[in-house]
Amino acid sequence: MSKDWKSELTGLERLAALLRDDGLDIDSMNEQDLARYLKENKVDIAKLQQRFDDLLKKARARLRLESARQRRLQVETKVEALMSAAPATIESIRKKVHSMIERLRQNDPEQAKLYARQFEKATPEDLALLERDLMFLEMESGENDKADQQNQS
Amino acid sequence: MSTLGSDKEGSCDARVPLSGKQLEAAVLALETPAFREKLAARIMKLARQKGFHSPFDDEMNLPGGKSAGDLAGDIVEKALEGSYTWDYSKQPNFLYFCLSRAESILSNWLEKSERLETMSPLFEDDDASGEVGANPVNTATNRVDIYAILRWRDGGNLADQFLQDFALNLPDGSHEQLIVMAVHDDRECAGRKYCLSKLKISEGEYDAAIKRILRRLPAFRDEWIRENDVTPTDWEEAR
Repeated sequence: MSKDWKSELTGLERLAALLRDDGLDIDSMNEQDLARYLKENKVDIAKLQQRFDDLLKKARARLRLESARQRRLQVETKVEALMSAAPATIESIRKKVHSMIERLRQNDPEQAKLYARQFEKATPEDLALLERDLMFLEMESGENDKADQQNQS
Repeated sequence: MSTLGSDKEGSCDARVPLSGKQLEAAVLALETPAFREKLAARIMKLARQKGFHSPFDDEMNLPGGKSAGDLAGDIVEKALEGSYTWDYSKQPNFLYFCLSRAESILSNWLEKSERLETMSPLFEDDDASGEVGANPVNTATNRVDIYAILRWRDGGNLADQFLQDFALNLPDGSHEQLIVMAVHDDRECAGRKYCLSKLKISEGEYDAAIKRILRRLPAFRDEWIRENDVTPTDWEEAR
């Protein structure tokens, strides 16, 4: 409201403004009062609600996507840090991957079966990749659980 | 309010949908009970204050045949998709940000309407639709809308003449005549509160006079149009 718009109105526009000034304080009205007020003033409430519901749905979806991307980045960073902090022998990686597959079996037997097949045929290079994948999977599932708990609370 | 945000339409900046804190704040605001109703009602009030609600019609049509609810939806949609620059550090409240955009859009509509004397169409961005087109007033206003004719003809002189004639037509010394005269003479007199204190009449007397004005206006308009030979072609002339 930087300009004094009143002084720019013609006389008839000022009369128009005056005739429609009901003196009501919008900020002090509750949802029902506002809906009634808009209805009385011929605003299509159902259309308004539908449009805002759609907009909110889209905005929430974008927010969820954004936070999922954020979590993924955090997990990736953690995995990278762990991998580079503790260089391990082939045998220790093999043991670690095996136990991770066992843990996975408890939650998702089908996926665990797939990893187990890869594990059997894995070369030392494959093992390192498998370890990375499984670590990522475990952390991401942990982060998702945390996010779900936060959303529920 | 123009410092709180600005349009990106027509500029080289790519539109970047809201994200991070801004998106969170917008979602939170949209989830607030009565947000949409409050925004629509505030826009309706703002548009009325700017003279968009014709004194001759019950319903207010904004340019393009939009309602206050439509404009509220347009603003939120465009804000979410990043058509406006939201300076979150200056205005973290999404409702107020949307209202600042409404204020800007309504002012732009008025300014564009005032350029009706132009003989060539102006090509520019439309705040509401985001599309580039000829001066939107050409299509946004009903050509046979007498209020529009009065508002824009001769830079509003026709409207002033109408108002003067209307005041003289009202019973001498009546509250309704006092109100119309006050509106005619005083540029500040565009709101109930100001008018009440200026005229020093009771709220009851004021409300009754406003009702009488509203009842009398349509008949006077028809009579005045006949006597002054104002036709839809005046709209063409005004353009």
